[in-house]
Amino acid sequence: MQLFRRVGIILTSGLIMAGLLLGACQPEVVEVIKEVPVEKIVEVEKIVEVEAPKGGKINFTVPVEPDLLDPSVSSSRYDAVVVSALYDALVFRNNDGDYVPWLAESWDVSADGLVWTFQLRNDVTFHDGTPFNAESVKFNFDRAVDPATKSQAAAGQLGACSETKVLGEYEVQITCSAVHASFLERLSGAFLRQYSPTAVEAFGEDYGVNPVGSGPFIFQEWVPSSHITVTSNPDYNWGPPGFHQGAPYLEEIYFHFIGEEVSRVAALRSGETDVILYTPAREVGKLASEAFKVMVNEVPGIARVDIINAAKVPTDELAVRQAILHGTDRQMIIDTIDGGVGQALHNVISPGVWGYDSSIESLYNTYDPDKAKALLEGAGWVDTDGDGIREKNGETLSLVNVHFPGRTPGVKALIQAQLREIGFEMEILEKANPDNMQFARAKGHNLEWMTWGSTDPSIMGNLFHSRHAGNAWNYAFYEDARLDEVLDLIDQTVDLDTRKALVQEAQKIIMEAALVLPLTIDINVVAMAPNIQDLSFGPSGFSDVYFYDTYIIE
Amino acid sequence: MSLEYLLRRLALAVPTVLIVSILVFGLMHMLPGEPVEIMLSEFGGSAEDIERLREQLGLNDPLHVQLGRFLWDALHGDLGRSLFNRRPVIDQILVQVPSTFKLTAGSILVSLIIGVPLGIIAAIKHRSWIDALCMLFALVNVSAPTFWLALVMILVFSVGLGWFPATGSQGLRSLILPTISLGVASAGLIARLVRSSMLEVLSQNYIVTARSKGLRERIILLRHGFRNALIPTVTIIGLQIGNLLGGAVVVETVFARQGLGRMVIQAIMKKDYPLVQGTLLFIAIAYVLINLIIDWLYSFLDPRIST
Repeated sequence: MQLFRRVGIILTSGLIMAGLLLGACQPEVVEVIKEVPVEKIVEVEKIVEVEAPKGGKINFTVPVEPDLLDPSVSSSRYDAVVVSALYDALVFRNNDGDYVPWLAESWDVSADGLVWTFQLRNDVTFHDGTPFNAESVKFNFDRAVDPATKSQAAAGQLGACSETKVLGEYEVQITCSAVHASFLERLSGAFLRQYSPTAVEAFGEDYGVNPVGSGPFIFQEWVPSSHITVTSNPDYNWGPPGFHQGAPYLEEIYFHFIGEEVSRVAALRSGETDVILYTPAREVGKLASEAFKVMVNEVPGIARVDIINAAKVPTDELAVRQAILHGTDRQMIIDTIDGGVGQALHNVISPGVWGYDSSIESLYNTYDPDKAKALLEGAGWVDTDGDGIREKNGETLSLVNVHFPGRTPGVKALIQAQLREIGFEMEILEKANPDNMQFARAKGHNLEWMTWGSTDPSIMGNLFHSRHAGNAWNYAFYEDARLDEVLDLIDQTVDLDTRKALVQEAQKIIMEAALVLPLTIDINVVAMAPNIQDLSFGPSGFSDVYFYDTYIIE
Repeated sequence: MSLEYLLRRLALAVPTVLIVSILVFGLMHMLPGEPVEIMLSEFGGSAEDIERLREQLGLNDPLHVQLGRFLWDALHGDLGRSLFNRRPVIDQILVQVPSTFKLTAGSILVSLIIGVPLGIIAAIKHRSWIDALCMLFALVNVSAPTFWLALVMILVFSVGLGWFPATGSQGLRSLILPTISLGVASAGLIARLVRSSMLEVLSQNYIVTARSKGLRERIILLRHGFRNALIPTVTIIGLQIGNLLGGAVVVETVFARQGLGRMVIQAIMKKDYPLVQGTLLFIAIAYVLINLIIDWLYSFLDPRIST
């Protein structure tokens, strides 16, 4: 699993893998690849990188247009895609999950975990010439927590760490009122990236469409509903470790927005775009056979799962919840609906989330309808009238499953058919986003579709802590004092080993109580023209795109 | 058109626009969910984040206060700023208008170029196989769903033949597939309408008179027949603009074009109140004005209608 995560590729079908190898690689390197295990493809591509030709422009398609490119205000992961080209962060999280220096050269945290001190690089300037220093960091973080900014994500991500002090020109101290265990993770993310104070003062409320960062690309133009262009920053010399030094190879990136997935694939085929995200899985084999490069990234989080409501009949019984997990064959979703692309999920969080415990998988990773039936019978659910649906005390064993419109409806139909075989009746309700939340808060569901991306395990708190039930996103309505305590501790523990143990305990409690029906790992299938080299993605598998090393070959 | 009539019509438009504003406001707030939850639902916010942002964005104020604020600001020409992208609503509308205007105007043109000749031919060859064929074609046009037609056109003309771009809104070439996708449904409607009005006109006494005077058939059809048959067609074009704006939502989305339709549908899904309210207010005003202009056109077409 660790290997999968490092290279960002999950492929289960050997056939498609072969197609990819043939389709994606240059003829002269095919020999090399044959001797290398599949997991090392990315490293092989590094070897191929002899000289990276400078210049050129790529057209990069994002499914949804960004709202604004102001890290302190924004919250959309589509904003984050463009933000990753324009802005740098204090710390960099590499694909091994380690935090390494970026704009901050080093840092320290006090023994109580409350005071963070960062030593900053002294050679960084923003695109408008404003120097990056302790003052600019303070300006950034003070602005994020200022109520007048109406920050969507950044204020919450700084959380208790809202007091920033300048200690020297390149030394800054951030004090937290409570321990914030995800602080480094947040600092490395899209919404705490660094921008020019001068630009914010100059553009005022319109800064979001006039972004000025210190990143490898400089903002040029944004034509609403059409495109955003960014061009190479010739002075860039502070890329994160593991990347080349100096200016980016690409001259220009042209971001445009196509929401319809059929149109996205058509645009790639007709040559209008070079890279598309969220390519439908059914197209993977075909695109690979047409010589396009295809990359399958895990998008970590609590994603592609159904949250099970422990406060509504019949899922208020543990046996019923467990029967649902034993009685569903998740591998079949991959094999029949997703054309063999992707991987079944057997845990609450996906493998890319920090602290993932693969030992939890064995609880439910074998499809066992007999065990499911036995559990139901043991709990008194039997089919008395011979219609195939079980009953108990005059109640039928029926479930309400709430689904997002358009999100692979076939998956739910498959689950419905599988559960029917062990005696469940399941109604599938399609509800769009706001409606769906309202319904779930009123406990109208037995199962509710959930897809949240994050590499940080603290998201389990937002989905399972009892203080988020009824007013936010806890749709499981499960009361367990130890679970609440563990979830709180995950947010408050800086020591990595202790924190990892807590994260594993939370996974165990949640899965043993069967509060979630995992379906498949969320994937972002990236398809690109064969001449695009070294385009890679960070831990999120989607929004942190590394354009910096990307180049185009003839 | 007298000035007094114009002023009266404009005065009547005021309550229309006001009622539209209040209806839109009411509908947006009646739908479940709210923007803050959508903002934070993507990466996972806490209950504290929801409460903080709601307060900061003024969404905790009573509804009548929010409605009053919107109407008062709108009266002063300020449609506010979007909750999500924080840009002025009016700027966002003005950026999208040219693209939607081109699409709608192009579609009307397409529907006239296809629909009018089809209707005239069908009327001349009344009850022949040509008439049946034209009307079958019109029926297919009216019935084919716009999104389906748009996807088929992309598959055939962009992916298959490579003649036109599949997406985007730059240049005339990118306008061709979207206008055809959107225009053909109206073309079918216009063909049927032109046919029936032509049939009605052609049976009038003055046509018989014209024929007996020995005028050429072409002049009879175009000058005496078609011009009189045009009046209902013009009316339907005015009403069709509403339908075309609705269809533009679909076409703009499939072809990833700039446009008001695509913007407003995204704003509705996010519950971006100021952007939805502002855009629909703008569309309502535009619709009222366009129909005013069309009424005025009547007086050119038919001097008997005095306004």
